[in-house]
Amino acid sequence: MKTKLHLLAIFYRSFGFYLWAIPIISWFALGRPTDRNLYVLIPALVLYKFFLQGITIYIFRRRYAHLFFFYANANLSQRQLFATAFAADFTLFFLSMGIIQLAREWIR
Amino acid sequence: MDPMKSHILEADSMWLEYEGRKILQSIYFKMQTGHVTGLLGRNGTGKSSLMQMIFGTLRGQNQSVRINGDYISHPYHHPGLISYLPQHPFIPANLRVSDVCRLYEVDFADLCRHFEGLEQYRRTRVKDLSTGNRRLLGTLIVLLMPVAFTLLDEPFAALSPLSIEQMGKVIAEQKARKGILISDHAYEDVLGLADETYLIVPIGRSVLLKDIHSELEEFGYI
Repeated sequence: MKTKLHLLAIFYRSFGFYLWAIPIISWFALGRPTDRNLYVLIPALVLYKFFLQGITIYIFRRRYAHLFFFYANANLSQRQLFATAFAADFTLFFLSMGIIQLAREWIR
Repeated sequence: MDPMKSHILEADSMWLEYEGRKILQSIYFKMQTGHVTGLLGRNGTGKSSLMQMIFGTLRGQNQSVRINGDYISHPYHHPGLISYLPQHPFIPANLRVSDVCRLYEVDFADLCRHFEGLEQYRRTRVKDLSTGNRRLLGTLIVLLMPVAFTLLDEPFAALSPLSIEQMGKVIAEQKARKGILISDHAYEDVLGLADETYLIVPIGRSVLLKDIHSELEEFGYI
């Protein structure tokens, strides 16, 4: 189990930063640090993340398909890899937004 | 799987088409623990596709892979059952050699026992290895994994003659505990190791060779 978690972490690390950072940066760019109420943007950001995840699957399958064999040798399928990575990505994304929001209120 | 028991892997009804073009049909294939099985065929006859179908990562129009008579839809999902060396580099470049060994349950010392030159690369990242050493690492790691069956797609590519000879010794040693399938265009090396050899002939049929050299000539492989 520990090995599988490690492998899943390796897989997520290979693209996770961009998947996490792009929506967060977009959130900031759209004015999160200002006083405007941007919670209305959250559904749009979630859709945006789905779009980015789709792009990630496309790029990975087109350019890095050979890497899937590394994980398949450890009994992990593409479905398991992407499902776990994207679940972790959403968790990190909402945690980050929560922390940013709390930090902002604390600074006030 | 119990490594002490003998296991048989059979593949038949393997049917694969790409855009209406038949690649594999009428394939029967058998490998067993304690044996090295050779797989030969000209370029584009579907050897790699067949291996991936056996491994379970490629789905054809039809396929049947059985272990000891039991159908298994995706053999690679089963721990301790099967490993596969693809033709292309498959290990993430940022990993260290020691990490790869740990993740694949292979003892680094075992790796170095077969190829002493690898000892200095324990903490080296895969991306910093030469092409030959990267291939050597990939082949060894897949070969030494604790599984019942190992599929090697071009294991001798990018290796020097001395390394090929040494790799042959590792394969011969490993066959005591697993079944090994080798496909490589260095056919003399494959024939030297194989207990039985299949040839894939157009269009996608498998032939178990008996009179090997004359049949290879007859089917236009050499």
